[in-house]
Amino acid sequence: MQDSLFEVNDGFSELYENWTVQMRKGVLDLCILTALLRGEWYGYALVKALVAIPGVGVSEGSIYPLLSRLRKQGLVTTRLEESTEGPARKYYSLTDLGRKLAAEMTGHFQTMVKGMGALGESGFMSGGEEGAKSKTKKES
Amino acid sequence: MKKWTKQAEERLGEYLNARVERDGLEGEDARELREDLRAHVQEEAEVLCMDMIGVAELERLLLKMDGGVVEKWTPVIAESRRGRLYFFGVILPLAVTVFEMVSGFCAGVFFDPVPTFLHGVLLIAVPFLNGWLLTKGRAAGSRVQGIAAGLALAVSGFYGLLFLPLLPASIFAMVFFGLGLLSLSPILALVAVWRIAKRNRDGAVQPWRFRSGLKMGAGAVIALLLAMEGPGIWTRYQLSRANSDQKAVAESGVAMLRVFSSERTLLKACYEGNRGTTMATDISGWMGKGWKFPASMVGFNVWGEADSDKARDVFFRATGKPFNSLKPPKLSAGGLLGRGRGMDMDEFEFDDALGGDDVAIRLKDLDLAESRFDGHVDTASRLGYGEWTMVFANTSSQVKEARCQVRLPKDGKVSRLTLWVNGEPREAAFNSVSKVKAAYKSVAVVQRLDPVLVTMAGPDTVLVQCFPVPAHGEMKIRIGITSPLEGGCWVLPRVVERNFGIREGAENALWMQADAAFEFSGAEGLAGSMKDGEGFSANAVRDLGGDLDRLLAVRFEGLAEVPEKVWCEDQFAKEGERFLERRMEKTHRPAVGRLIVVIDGSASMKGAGRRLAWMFAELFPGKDIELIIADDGVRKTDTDGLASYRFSGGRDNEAALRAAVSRAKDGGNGAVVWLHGPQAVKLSAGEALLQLLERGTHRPDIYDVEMVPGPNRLSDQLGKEGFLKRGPTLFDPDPDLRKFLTGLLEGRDELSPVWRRAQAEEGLEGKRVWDQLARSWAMERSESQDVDRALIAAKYQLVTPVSGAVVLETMEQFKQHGLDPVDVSAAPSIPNIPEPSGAVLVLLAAIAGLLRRRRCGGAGA
Repeated sequence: MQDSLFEVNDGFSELYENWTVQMRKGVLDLCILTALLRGEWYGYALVKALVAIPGVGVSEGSIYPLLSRLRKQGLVTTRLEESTEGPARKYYSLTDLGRKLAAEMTGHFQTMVKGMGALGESGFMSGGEEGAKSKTKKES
Repeated sequence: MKKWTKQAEERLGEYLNARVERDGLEGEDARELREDLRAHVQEEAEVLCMDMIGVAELERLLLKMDGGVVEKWTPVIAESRRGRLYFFGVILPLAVTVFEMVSGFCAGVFFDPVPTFLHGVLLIAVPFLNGWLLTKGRAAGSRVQGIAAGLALAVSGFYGLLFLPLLPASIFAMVFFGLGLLSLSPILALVAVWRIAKRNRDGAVQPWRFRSGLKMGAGAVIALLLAMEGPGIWTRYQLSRANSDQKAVAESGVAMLRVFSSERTLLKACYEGNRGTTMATDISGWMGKGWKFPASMVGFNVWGEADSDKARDVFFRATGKPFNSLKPPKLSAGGLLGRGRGMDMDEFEFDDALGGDDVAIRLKDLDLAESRFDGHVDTASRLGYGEWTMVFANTSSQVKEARCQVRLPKDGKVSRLTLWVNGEPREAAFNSVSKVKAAYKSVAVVQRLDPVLVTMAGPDTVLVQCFPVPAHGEMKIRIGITSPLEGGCWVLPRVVERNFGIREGAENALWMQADAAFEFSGAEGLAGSMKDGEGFSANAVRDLGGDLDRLLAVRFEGLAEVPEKVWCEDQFAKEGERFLERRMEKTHRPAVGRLIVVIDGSASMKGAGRRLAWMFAELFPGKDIELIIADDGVRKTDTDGLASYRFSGGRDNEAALRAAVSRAKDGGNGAVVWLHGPQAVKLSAGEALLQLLERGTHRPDIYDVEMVPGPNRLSDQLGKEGFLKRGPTLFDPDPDLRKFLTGLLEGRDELSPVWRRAQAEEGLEGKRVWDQLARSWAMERSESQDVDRALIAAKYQLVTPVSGAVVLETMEQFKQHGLDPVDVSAAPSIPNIPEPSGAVLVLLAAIAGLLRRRRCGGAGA
C-alpha cells in the first residue's frame, strides 16, 4: 500500500522521507548506546548490526563519523587490539556518562513508545474528545 | 589476509581522501575516519572468495559501504600546497646540499654538515625520497612509503635540530639582510618532510604498515646516525669532563676516554676552538657549541666549545700519542671549489705557536718536500759528522713556520746551520740562546724575513724553526751535526716531532762514507759499504716517510776497545794551543747500590711490559732492583705485577720519578733508570722533582732510556737543568738494555778523553785527524759548568743548552743584533773522502814526475 502511495503522490514521498531522516537522526544514537549497554562491541560488527536494524536505513560508511562524535562527546570509549590478520581492531564501549545517558534515553524512549502504544489502544476516534481533554488538562 | 593490487590500494587511498574532503573533515577527525573506513573495507574484503582484491571488487565494496554514493576522486591537496611541498621538501634541500658540498660554506663557518660520504648520501636522499613520496611513491606499498618517509623524516629531523640554534639569527638575517635561507632551509625542509609524510600516511591503504615502515626507516637512520656520531658525542662529553676543574671528574673523564674514545674527534678538538686553527667544528662539536646556550636556558649543561690546549693534553693522556704525530684532521670535508670559506679558498690555519718554543700543531699544506743526508765517520777519532739538507714546501697562500724537534746522536751537537736565500747558501751565527732567539723573533716574526733558528730543546734534542716558508714556495736549510760513535755505531739524527707533513713520494737521498767498512743498522734493504778509493761509501735513495723518525745507524765491526791517540789542528784555539791531542782512558764505574727502574705506564710501552718483566725476573734474580710503574701516580710493583699491568693512555711520569729519586737518595749511591715512551705534554709542574734533585747531598743519576721515540717534555725539562743522563740507544732493545743494566748493577769500564794542547805538532802522538776533534773537545767543555761555556760553544759553532744558531737574511741584520755569521771556510763540511793521505799524494806526484821525465827522455832519444 505504501509503494502505491509513493507512486501516486510525490509530496507524500517527500514528507515520509523527511520524517524518516529526522527519526533516524534521533534514534541512531540511541541504537548505538543501547547496543553498547550490553557490553563492548567490535566496530565493524556494531556497524553491521546497526545497518541490519529494519528501518534504520543508513549506509555503513556513515556510522563511523557518528561513533567518532560520540567518542568525542565522552559517551563512548575505544580501544585498539592488534590483529595478526589485518588492521588493529577498534572496540567500542560506554563510558559512565554514556551508560547513564543510555539508561535515561532508553527509559525515555520506552516511556514514549509505551505512551504512543497506549494512545493507539485508547484510539483517538473512539475516545477522542476525552483523550483530547485529558491532554489539554495536563498541558495546562 | 587478502592481497591487494596496487591499483586497488591506490584507489582506496583516493576514495578515502575524497571521502574526508566530502565530509569536511581535517586533521585527527579525517585520520580517524580514514582508518575506520579502511578497516571496514578490509573486513569486508576478507569474506570475499577471491585471493586478490582488485579495483572492481573494491568498487563494489565501496558502493556497498557508501550506500551507493561513491564520488569521483578529487586531489586532496591544492596545487599551491603541492608546489610548496615540492619547493621546501625537494628543490630547496637538494639545492642547499649541493651548494654546501660544492662550497663548504657552513663547514667553514659553523660546522661541517657533510663530514663523510655517508652523511652526503643521507642528505641527498631526503629530497629524492620526498620527490618520490609526492609522485610515484603514492602508488607504492604502504610499508615502502612508510620506510621512505621514516628515512627522510629522521635525517631531516636530525639536521633540523642541528640548525635550530641558528633559527633566530637566520630569521633576523632573512628579515634585515635577505640572507639566512641556507641555515633556515633544514628547518623548512623538516616541516615539509613532516607534511609529506603525514599526507602519505593519510593516503596509505594500510596505515599500520605505513606506521611500522616509518618506524623502521626512522630507526635505521637513528641507528646509523648513532653509529656515526655516537662515538663523537661520547668523546666530546668525556673531553669536557676531562677538562673539568674538579680533579675527580677530570680523572674520571680521562679514564673513560682511555676505555673508549674517537681519536678522530679528539684530534679535531685539538685543532679547533679557542686556540686551534679554526673556529669551525664537526657535528658532535656543534652539538655542544651550538646547543650550549639554548640548553642552558632550560637547565641542561652540554659540553660547549673545545679548549684546544687542554684537548691536546687530553689527547695524549687518552691515547698515549702526541697529537701532532698524526696527520691533521680535515676540519671541513671541503667542497669541490675549495676548502671552507677561507683565504683564497684555503682552510685558514692560525698557528699560535709561531716563533715559540713548541712544535705545536701540524700544519696542513706544509711539507718536507726533499731530504738529503750526507755523513762521514772517522773511526780513528771515533767521530762522525753529518749534514742534513731539508727543503720545506708550502702549498698554501699563507706563509708558514716549519718547526721540528730533531733527536741527535748521543752526545751530538749541531755544528753547522745553513739557509739558502735566493739560491745562495748563508751560514749561521752562533751565540747565546737569548741573543739568537731575540734576533730570530725580530727578523722572522716581526719583520717576516728569512731566518732559521736552532736551539736545544732537551738532551741531545734540538728545535729547528724556519720562517717564513713562503706561500706557494720553498725554503731550504742544512743542519750539520757532530757526534761521537756510540759503542761502534754512529747514529743518524731523526725527527721526533714536527709540524709539517711529508710530501707524497718524497725521498731521502742517503750518502755515508767512512775510513772503514760499515754496515747499516735499523733499516732493511740497505746494503753495506763498498770500497771507494781508500775509504768506503754507501748510498741509497729511500722513502722519506719511513726514514724520518727511524733509528738508523752505521755500524763498524772490529774497532779496538780503546781508540788510539789522535790529534788535530784547532783553528779556533789561541796561539800556543793550536794543536790538540786526545787519548782515551779507561775508568771503572762501581756498581750502583740500589737501582730503581721507573717504567712509563703509557700505551706506547704496551709491547715492552712482559719482556721487561721476564728480563728482570730471569736475568737479574736477587738483584736490588725496585720497579715502579708510572701511571700518573706511583705504582710499586714486582715482575708479576709488571707482566700483568695494562698499559694505556698517556701517563704522567713525574710523580713516579720523584718517588724513585727519593728512594735512590735514601742510603746513597742509588740510581734511577727511566724507561719511557713519549711524554708529549707537560702534565705536571715538575718543580717538586727539580727541587728534590737540586737539594740534598746525594744527587742520584737518572738514566733516560727511550724505549719508544717521541717528544718528551719532562725529559726536556730535566735535561735542560742537567739532571738527566742519556741512556743507551736501543738498537737491539733487549740485549742493549740488559747490557746497560748489567753494567749498572755490576760495575763497568767507561772511556773518558784526556786532552793535551801543544804549540806545534812536533811531539804529538798518534794519528792526525780532522778538526771535528776540536769540536769534540768544545762539546765536552760546553756541557761542563765552566763560566765561559757559552763563549766556547759559540766559538766552536755549537748549539748547546746555552748557545744557539741563527741564520738571518742580510749582514745588516746580523750586525743589528750583534751577531757574526760563520765564515764558510771555517764551517765544517763533509770531507772529499776518500781523501788520499799526504803520503799517497807525494807518491802520485813522484810517479807523475817520473813518467814525464821518461817521456821527455824518450823524445830526446
